[in-house]
Amino acid sequence: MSTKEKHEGLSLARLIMVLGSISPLFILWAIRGTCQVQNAYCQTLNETGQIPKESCLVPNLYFVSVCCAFIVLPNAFLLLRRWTAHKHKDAREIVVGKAEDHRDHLLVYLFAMLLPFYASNLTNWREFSATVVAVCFIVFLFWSCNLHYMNLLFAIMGYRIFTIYPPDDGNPLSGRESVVLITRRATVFSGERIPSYRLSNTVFWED
Amino acid sequence: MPITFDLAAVNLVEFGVGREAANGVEFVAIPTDDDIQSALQDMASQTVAALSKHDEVAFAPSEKYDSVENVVTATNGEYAGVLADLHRAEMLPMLATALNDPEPIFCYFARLSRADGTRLTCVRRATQFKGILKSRLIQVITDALKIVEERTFKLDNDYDLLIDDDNIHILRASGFVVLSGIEAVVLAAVPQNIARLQVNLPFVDFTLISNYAANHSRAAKVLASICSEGEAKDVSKERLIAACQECGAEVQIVVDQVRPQAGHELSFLMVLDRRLFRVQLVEGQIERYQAGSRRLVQGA
Repeated sequence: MSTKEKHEGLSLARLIMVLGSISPLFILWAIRGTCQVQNAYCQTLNETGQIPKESCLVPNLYFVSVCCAFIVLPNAFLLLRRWTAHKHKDAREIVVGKAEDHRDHLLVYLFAMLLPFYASNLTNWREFSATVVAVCFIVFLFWSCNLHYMNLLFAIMGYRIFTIYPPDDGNPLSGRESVVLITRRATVFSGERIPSYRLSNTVFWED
Repeated sequence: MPITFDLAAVNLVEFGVGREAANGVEFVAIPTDDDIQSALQDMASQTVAALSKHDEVAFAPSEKYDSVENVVTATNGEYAGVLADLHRAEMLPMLATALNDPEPIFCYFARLSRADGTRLTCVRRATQFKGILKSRLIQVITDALKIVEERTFKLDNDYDLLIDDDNIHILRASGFVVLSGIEAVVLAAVPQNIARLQVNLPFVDFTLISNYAANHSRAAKVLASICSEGEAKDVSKERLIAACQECGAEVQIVVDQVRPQAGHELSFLMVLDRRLFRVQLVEGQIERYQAGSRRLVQGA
């Protein structure tokens, strides 16, 4: 086993963090639900003073509960992971060679995740299954590409996301892998040393 | 120069191991909790305390040291080898699973960092660290003893050496010799060391010595010591020949150049390194000795 191989570690934690990153989708789904008004005939009846009937693929109570669980639990886990790193001083010094502000990743995130799935139809089993499978594919891609830092919660809390490349110091033992730093700093300068808590082996959080 | 690093002001502790890899050695960081970090800091304090009990001496590759001493060599010096790289390396690769395969691990280390950017790197060979793996441990679970099934590693009480920005402070020279790969370093440096000596000793023919030292690590170490301690400066040709004769290192003079006889290359180098000497305390009986370890006697 050599470090030349990719050893990201914390696989389950990263998966849960990816689920946390798609929590806005579950918020939208919870609002939309899987119900639809049955047909035009029913609407005609409505004009006569009757309440239009809805047919729900999944009962609202269950669907909203599941969506809420997918919203709350992964983000709670993310905060727990951050708390654990704090408690155990699980930190390392990030040395900045080059830093890139990756706000454009949020656009990718929006286009890859929120917009297509928001528009998908969840009112019949076939569409619903296809959508769930597509979400699974996206989750897998985010997980394998280490995009688990893509979380609107960070933006809401005022954090920015930088990709940090280590300095090219000519030392054969220095790390070559880039890491992601979640920080409140507006800019990160070359040569800075930033003690940060470890969320995963490639994602670090500076308070 | 004593260690100036303030252990009370450490804000980050990084733990890791050195492993033998296909293309040499590699050092990886392993995440740890705060209990282990405290233990690693305690080990550093113990090492500083142990070092302070001894007088500081400069490291020489040919010297034989006691099991515990206070030996110093420069971090930027020729003997630091991979240890200097370890001290200066930034953002070491992280491999949380490194202990799953303990066989190639040859050392473990801690890097203690302060907010001002200074760092103290502490290194220890992994003999006891891994040794516990082969032991059968027992623990009390209820009122009955039980074999410990989990893999257990054991931290030592102190480190073999501490590295700051200026110096490597060596508590166990045997550990330093292994960790820094001194043999490979001095063998690789033989041509340069011969060239340096040739400047100081133009009247010596180093052809035989060069060939010998390239294949004998002991001779390469003595050669490196002579160079690093400047022992070849201002050496008189006549006194060198006389010292060789006195100590039994046979030399011949060929075209005004001093050359050791075949088989006497190491003895010749040891004369230059002040490690061969003659004593005559008994009338008519000359005794010659070789000093594995020697110190300059002040005021002599």
